[in-house]
Amino acid sequence: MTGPPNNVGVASILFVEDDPSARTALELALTRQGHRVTSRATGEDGLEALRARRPEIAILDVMLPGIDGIEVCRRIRRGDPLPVILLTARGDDLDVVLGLEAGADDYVVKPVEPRVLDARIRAVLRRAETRADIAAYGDLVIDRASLKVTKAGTDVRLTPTELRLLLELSRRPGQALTRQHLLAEVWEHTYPGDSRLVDACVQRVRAKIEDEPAEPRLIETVRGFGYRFTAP
Amino acid sequence: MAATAAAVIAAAAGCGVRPTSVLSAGSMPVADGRASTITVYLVKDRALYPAVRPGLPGHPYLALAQLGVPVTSEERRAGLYTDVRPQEISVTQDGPPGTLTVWVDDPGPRGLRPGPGSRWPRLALAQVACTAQAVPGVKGVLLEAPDEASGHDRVPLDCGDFADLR
Amino acid sequence: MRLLRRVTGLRIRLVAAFTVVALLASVLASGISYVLLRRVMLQRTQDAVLTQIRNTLAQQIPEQMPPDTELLIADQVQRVLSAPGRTVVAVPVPLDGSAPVPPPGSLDVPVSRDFARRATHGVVFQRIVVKSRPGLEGHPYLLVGARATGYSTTVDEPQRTTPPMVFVSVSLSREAADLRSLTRALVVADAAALLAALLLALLATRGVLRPVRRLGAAARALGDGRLSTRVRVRGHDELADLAHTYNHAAAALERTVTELRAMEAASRRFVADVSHELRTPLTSMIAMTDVLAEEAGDDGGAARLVAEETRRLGGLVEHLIEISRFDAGAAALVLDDVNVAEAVAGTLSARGWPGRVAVEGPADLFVRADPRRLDVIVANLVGNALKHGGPPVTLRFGPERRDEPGVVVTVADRGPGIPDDLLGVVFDRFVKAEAARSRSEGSGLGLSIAKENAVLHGGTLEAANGPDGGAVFTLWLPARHDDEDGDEDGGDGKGGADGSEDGEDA
Repeated sequence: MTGPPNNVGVASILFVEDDPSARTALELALTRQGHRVTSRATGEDGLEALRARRPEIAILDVMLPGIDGIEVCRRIRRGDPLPVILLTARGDDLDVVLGLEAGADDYVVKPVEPRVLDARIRAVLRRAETRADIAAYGDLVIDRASLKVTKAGTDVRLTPTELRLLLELSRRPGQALTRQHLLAEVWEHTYPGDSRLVDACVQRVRAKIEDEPAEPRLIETVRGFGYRFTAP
Repeated sequence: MAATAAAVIAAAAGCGVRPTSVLSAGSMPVADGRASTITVYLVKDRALYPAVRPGLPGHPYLALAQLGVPVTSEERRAGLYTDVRPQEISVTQDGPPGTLTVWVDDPGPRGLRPGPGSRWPRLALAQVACTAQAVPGVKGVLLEAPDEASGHDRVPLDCGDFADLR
Repeated sequence: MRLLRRVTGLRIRLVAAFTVVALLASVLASGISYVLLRRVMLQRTQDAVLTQIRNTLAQQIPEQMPPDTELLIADQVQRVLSAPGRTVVAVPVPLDGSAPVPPPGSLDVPVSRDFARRATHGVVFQRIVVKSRPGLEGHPYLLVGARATGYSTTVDEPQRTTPPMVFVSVSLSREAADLRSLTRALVVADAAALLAALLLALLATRGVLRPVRRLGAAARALGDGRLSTRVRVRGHDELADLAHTYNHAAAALERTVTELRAMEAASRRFVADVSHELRTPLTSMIAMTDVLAEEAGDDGGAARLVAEETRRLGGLVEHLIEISRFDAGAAALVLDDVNVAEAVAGTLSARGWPGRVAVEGPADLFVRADPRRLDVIVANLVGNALKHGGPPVTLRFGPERRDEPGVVVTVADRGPGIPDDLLGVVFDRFVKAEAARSRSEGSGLGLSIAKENAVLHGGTLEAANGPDGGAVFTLWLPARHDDEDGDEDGGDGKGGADGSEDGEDA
């Protein structure tokens, strides 16, 4: 329902994990799923590899010696729409909230099954459905064919997740969508998903496309329900 | 609180002068009235006879008043009697100095004049005159009585006039 | 309640006791002085009257009396003794020894026969308060009766020479008036003393009770959990001692409680830390056993078993972490408006159960809940029913109003039900209905977690046995939460405006 699944085949993954056995095991498992995995033990090494290898996605363990996963994510987000999945041993809300604030697209809690992780990777990387149309909402232009978004003529750099969220919302302008619906459509989470993923992602998208992110006009909150895309 | 109330009630009830039962205040006072004896002229064998009786404090002219009381049993046994009928005799001293006025309320139908039927025979008048003059400081006596005719009967008496009866 | 405590409180009691004691003392003092003064006053009057009568009789009655001078003596005595407020009567003494009673009305007060009889033997007096004479009620009188002795009479005519008896009644109204004014003065003095005592008592008790009140407040604060509360110690009296003792006790309590809390927190943290530490190795184990099982292919029975058990271990660790989060009070609600029908369907389909559970309920029922926690509750209840109960398993939901509008979800099975001895503890940790189940898949924490989640929502979760057998679990959740802060709207000004929706939901 979300486009052809084969638009994600083999992904090149940067995997940062300090525990050697976990690193080895997950690297092995992900490789068996068909991905190309570059694994590093520290955040610094991870950032180094990021520049050298240009991976398609980063999977970061939160607890790292030196700069932690959240900080690594934050540094990646400074200029790169690279999708990031956080791997946390503590499902504590603080880690999740910090990670989402840092710009992570999704998170998984250890112990994670390789199949689940693979599904998340594919969901995050999945291209949105392509339809040949270009829609303009004020000075915001969404080109669904080339999957480009411009705001007042300037390119808006969105992560694949952010793009999918924007496309999902803008596909039905004026219609309110629940968080759980968005989680299922954009993140491909089975019920129940963590609705904070949606909230954090909406905040990020707003920051990029709204004139006044504090007073959003395009993506409105429907209190106690979800979000609605409104064409101006 | 109860104790206070009780105390207040008790205090209120005990206020003022409380009645008592009959209380003794010691033995009886001893009669100790000082008065000199008096001389009362009684009659014995139709002659004046001076009898001595105890006096009474504050009553200097008691002797005259005593003429109006019956003689004591002791005097009677001694043959004494009085010719003055038992009656009220009051004595004042309002005349000239040394003169007593003896007032008789009821002198009888003949007044103070002696004679048959008179309540005041000569012996009685002599008794009055001499008894009065036996009181120290008394020189003469004026016997007075109401009188139907003149309204006021007044007879001056002097013991010396009755020397024959002594 | 507060007022009642004020009225019967320590302060009032202390003030009352103090005042009563002061009042008693002052009343006693004034009473004693009153009685003494009265006695002195009356004694003086009585003595004066008695002495005068005695002297008069002695002086006016001679040792030997002229005959028939009774009236003269009587006159004389009356004259000498007469004074304002006095009446004097002289009465002849009958020689037959009977008591001479003066004619009624001759004196201000009647003379009793007894009085007259005793008066023939000595000087007697009596204070009498008039009761029955109109206009004179309450007037006190002193009645004196006396006769002289030591006189001689003639032998055969004693009646002519016997001196008369004298009765004198003396009005004591002046003394009574004096006593009345004395009473007034004493009452005024007592009232002043009472007032002063009251003031002093109030001052004193305030001084005493202020520290007591402070101690009470401190003890209440201690009871409310403010263990660092201390009182200031002032002076060196018993109250200061008490304050010292209190401070010591509070310090000891604070120390103990702090230690206990630290120990408890440490043990909880230990469980949490251990669980967290297990997660990373479990991740590797799960990944590796998956790989092993896949590589072994059809012959990999053992590898699959290990993979399965490893996954179960992971689930147990997950539950332990969840429970320790509840223990630490770190569990937080992420609330959303949840369509119950959709949520239930999602929970069942995510676990591959849809065909095994009969679901009944309205499609448009919403509840304000944390979807993840609602999922945990429903999954635990349904999973429990599928595992331990017998088919068919039914799940019903619908609106139900308890203290407030809410949503009820019941999960029933047709199995053997819950043994009676387990009904009370079914939500306790690691309680399992059968000994055999200790080898089953449940961690023993599922129902505890479900219950904790229900409570976290402000709801309830109850277990019972249905009338037709089988266990019935009833979940009730309030439809909305008043205490939510709307954080998930993330500072969205527009969204906050249409709060009317909440009302429609209810």
